[in-house]
Amino acid sequence: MSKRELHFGLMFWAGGTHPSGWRYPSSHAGAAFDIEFLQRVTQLVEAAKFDFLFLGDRLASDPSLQTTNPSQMSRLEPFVSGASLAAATSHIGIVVTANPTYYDPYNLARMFASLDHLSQGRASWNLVTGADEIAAGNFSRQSHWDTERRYDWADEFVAVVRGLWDSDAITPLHHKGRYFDVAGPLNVKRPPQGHPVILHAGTSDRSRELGARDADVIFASQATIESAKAYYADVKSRASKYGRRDSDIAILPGLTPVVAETTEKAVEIFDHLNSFIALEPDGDGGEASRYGSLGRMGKRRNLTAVSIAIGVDVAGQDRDAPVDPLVLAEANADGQRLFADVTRLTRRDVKGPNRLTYRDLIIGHIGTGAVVVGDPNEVADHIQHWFDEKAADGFNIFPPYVPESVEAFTSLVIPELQRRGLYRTDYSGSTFRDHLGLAKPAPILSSASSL
Amino acid sequence: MAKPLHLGFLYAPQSGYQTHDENFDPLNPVHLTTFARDLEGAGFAFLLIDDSVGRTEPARSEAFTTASFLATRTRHIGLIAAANTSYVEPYNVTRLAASLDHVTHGRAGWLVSTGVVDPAGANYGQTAVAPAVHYERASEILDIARRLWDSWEDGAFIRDKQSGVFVDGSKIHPIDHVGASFSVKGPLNVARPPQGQVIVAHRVADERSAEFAGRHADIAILAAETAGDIAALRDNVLAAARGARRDEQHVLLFAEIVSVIGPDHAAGAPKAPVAHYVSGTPTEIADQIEALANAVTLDGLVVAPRVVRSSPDAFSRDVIPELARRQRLRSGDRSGTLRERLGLARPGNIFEHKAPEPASTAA
Ligand SMILES: Cc1cc2nc3c(=O)[nH]c(=O)nc-3n(C[C@H](O)[C@H](O)[C@H](O)COP(=O)(O)O)c2cc1C
Repeated sequence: MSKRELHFGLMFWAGGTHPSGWRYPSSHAGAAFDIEFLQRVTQLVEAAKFDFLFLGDRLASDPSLQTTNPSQMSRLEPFVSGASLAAATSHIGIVVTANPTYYDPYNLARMFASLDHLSQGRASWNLVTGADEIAAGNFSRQSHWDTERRYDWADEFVAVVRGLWDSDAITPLHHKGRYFDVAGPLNVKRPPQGHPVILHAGTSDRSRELGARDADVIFASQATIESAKAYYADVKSRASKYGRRDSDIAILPGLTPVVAETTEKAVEIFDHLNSFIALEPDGDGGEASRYGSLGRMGKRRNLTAVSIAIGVDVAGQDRDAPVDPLVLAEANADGQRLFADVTRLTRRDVKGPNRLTYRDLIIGHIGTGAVVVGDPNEVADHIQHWFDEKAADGFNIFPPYVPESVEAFTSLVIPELQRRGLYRTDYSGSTFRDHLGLAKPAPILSSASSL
Repeated sequence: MAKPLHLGFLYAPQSGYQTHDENFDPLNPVHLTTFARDLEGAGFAFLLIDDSVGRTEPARSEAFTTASFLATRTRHIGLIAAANTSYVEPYNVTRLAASLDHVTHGRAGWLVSTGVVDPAGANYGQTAVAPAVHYERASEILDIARRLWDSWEDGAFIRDKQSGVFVDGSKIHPIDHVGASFSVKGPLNVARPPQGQVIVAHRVADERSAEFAGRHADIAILAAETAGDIAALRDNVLAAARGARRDEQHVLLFAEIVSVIGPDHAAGAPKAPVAHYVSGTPTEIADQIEALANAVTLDGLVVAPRVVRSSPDAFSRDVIPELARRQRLRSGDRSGTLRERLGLARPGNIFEHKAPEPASTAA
């Protein structure tokens, strides 16, 4: 077996994955519809030998996202941006998010086969069953299906798509299943990769099962190493019953790196970014209700919400004041974790020369996902630790502000990981499967209708 | 003299009426790039990328993916991609077209086809549907698409780093469409296309398609054998436009011509069922085109050769310069949007000016 090697993707929200990343001075606030800019950033990570560029997607929009998630309000349709990015690059994998819940398998199989031909073997499908309840309203549905229905549908859908990729005039498919009735064959030749790489992202039991069976790459979202290790072990153990080896699936959690030449500079950038987050007055500590629940329900950005979370009443405190050490002493277990996390990121504490403030607690409380702040060595240590501990096979990198955070990661962290022998110094092939060390699958000639 | 003509090119290899030579592989991105750049250089205003979801040879890629790829590889040529309204979700196809317009900086179009011409229900679990149903569905999807393209006003993005205001929510509109086949709430999740509304093209071969084009299309592609039949289709389209209370000037009329030059005479090249054929030497072809343009008032021609070639085709090489010499072709600025190039104004937004006027602002 060849040596385990890190894999990296760039999770591409053009305005940055930080809720206020677009406000960072050097950020390009109009990036989402500027294809030349997207191409430049893609070329940047291709030069750093990234495995893929990840184009997430939503099937609805909501103006109320502007303070919490402006990058999620609107974007280019990902097949369009994916094909345009393929035209400006030569090696990097292009991941297009497509939600079977609101797609048709024949159309989707054609689109991915086409993208795989046009990119010469770099297409990939991020199969998600959909986060947005309000998407149903855009697709003539009364409501978003529940998990069981979405995954029953997705399981058959992916089998039909694979069957279409393998179909030809002699074996046209003739699928008749619970949800789909597809004659075939596909009218696009078998893709160069055989099957474009399949990514999957989800959290439920059904999602893990689909991922273990069908995914080449899993995009995970655990924020702590303990939960990431548990998820990693669970999915890989499920895969064995489908005859798959550990190395057949790469599990890549999201990771937001804030990196600079020095720790002090990195913390300064982190604080600068967070200074743009619009905080709310104290009073209401409940979840911020959001029209139609597009994305996660937002936590209240105030000290009332912090008080509820940590079990100590800090509402009304001056947000710029240092936190009283007694608050930490009295905080519950969640509160202890919150303080530890804030200290890890900001290097500030309730004692010593650098004091953390009440504002830091609010920012820490609303944060999501794994974040690391530090100099190139500290960030590389973090990555290596998760990799060695089998919490990750690599990461989907969340660039908090674009393009500078991408430049920082590729110029500071990638060379350090290469020095440590953890990351490739060049591509060994030209297809996305090559980067993952996956062979081109032989056609499945039996009909998919055996589901 | 008749007005000078715009030129479009219909790309539909393996469609039953077009093939390609052995040096051209429609799935090869390098070949596609050379092909599109040659057309751009020859002065074509747009490339129509046809599509099929039925049982055709597995030789070409899906039209919107192909157009999006070519968007980066070209600078000036319009890219009009086909999608069949009988087999798509309106929200998906509307996003594709709007996004293509962004990545081409306003060179995008959508060639609307329906299940009538390309019955493919067997790949979608559909049982046979009457042609009228296909067209009703197409019409509803066009109504949805036009409203979704307008659902973000041009000024919706504020992006003020200082204040943190990213959008003006009052300029983003749900469309609340409830119709016979679809209900679509909106808004779209794509900014308004650079052209405001993406160019819509439709191929006209009978009364039903003429009715649809008159109502919905910016470009009507008239496909008939004789000049007289082309003129009759033209009259049908314009009558439908008037019926829909559209300005006749807003529907551009193109005749589809099948050019047969030199090697295209060879056996094996498919024949279109209904089309206006021009053939012979470049001079003879130019004569035939002039005769057509004198007989029928047209805005342009869609050239549909029987064979797509790996090297610039004889029409580009020999016929276009001859037509240019006779001052039969539009020349002029090719740097703007497809709309600008075709002389079509950028439409206003149906949602604008609908907000109640602010109460009188006494100083
Ligand atoms: C890391 C990660 C990335 C995701 N990306 C998307 C996305 O781009 N678009 C989308 O609609 N849903 C996305 N989802 C949401 C899933 O589609 C799904 O709705 C969610 O995980 C909860 O349901 P499930 O785990 O049962 O699938 C993502 C989920 C995770 C964990």
